[in-house]
Amino acid sequence: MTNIKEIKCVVWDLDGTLWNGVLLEGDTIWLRSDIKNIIQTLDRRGILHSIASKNDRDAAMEKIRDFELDEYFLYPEINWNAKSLSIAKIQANLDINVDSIMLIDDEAYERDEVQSVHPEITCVDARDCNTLLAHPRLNPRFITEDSARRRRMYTEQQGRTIAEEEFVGPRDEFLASLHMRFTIGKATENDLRRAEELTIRTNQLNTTGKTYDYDELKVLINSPRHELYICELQDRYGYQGKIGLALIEIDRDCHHLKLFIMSCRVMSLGVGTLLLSYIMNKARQSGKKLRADFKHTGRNRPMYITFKMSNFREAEDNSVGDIVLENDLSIIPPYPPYLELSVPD
Amino acid sequence: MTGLDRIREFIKSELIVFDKGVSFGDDDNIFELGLVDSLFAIQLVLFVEEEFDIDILDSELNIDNFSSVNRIGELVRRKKG
Repeated sequence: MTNIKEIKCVVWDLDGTLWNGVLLEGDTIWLRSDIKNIIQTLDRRGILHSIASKNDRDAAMEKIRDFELDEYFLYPEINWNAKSLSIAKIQANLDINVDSIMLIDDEAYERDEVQSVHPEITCVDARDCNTLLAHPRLNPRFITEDSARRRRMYTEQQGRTIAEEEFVGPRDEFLASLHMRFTIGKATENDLRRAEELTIRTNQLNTTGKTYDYDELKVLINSPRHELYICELQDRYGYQGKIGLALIEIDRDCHHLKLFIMSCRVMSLGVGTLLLSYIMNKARQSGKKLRADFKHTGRNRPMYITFKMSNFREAEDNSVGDIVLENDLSIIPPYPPYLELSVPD
Repeated sequence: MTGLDRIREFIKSELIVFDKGVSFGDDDNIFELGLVDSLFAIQLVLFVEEEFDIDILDSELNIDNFSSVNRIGELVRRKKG
């Protein structure tokens, strides 16, 4: 199991980095060698692309369309702001950590400016582009169906965000207008690569931060003492993919939630507690207690808040940060009425 | 606006309530009223921390402290006290 953190988004400068020449000085502009291949290859690996360039937005976007690269860039920041600010905006729009962003820029002072504001970012000199495809942090262990579709899912998310901004009326009506279908299923072997990917990629809504690899998960789905649930979401903008994971150990007197993960992408859709409600109902039906492992990772406070506000209480704390939460199952949040839910038999 | 007003306004604007025309008093349990999803719970805690410039401790994070406008008000008063 590798511990280096995968890059989720590569942010490109334009003049002197993506292409040769300075656009606004009327130079002849041509793509630097192999750039298109690099962008398309990383895209297929599930790595997103964006732009941070000090340039004229309309002129630059027109050039990017000429090169048929426009579909690859999410939330491009083309303006005269400090690049550190552009990075902050891209980071907020994609809702990823800055340590999973890589900036490619030919200007050392731009890299330094960004690095000084965002110490955790990785900056690469545009001259080293030929090393990108072999870069260990740009080579995810598995390419899953979800990773190959990742850019499309973010593009659909942009559509949702715009629809929500334009929607006049209460938020619940907007959510109902999405016609969401939420499916909870027992994980099968086909799901395990994505399940591993979720344990690696999800930071904020993750109870323990512990990663599980394919082989460990395979043992667990065949274990009579364990249940591994994976859930997926579909709405009228498209397929959101497999977005949640829960690992339960069935003990004599309790259901023990060893791991609980929700992709941050779907949090604003009000579906964050659905899987948790399902697990609480299952435990109540079996007449057993529900316990959950939790470990503060420095990033997962949103998940801690979610659990505590779902009536979990701290039962054990070994003082090195391994917490066991317990729920008396007296309050189980109802399933939201604005979506269609299907659960295993 | 008083602190309680700000809390009430925030809950009103963010809580998803499906029963139209539902109104809530300062003692009503918001977890029983509407649909408190995880996002709302997170937003509510972060709102209270930012709005009143306090840090909610892990031991204070529970439904009891956040169940109504008045309970949140009491928590803030205790913290500010």
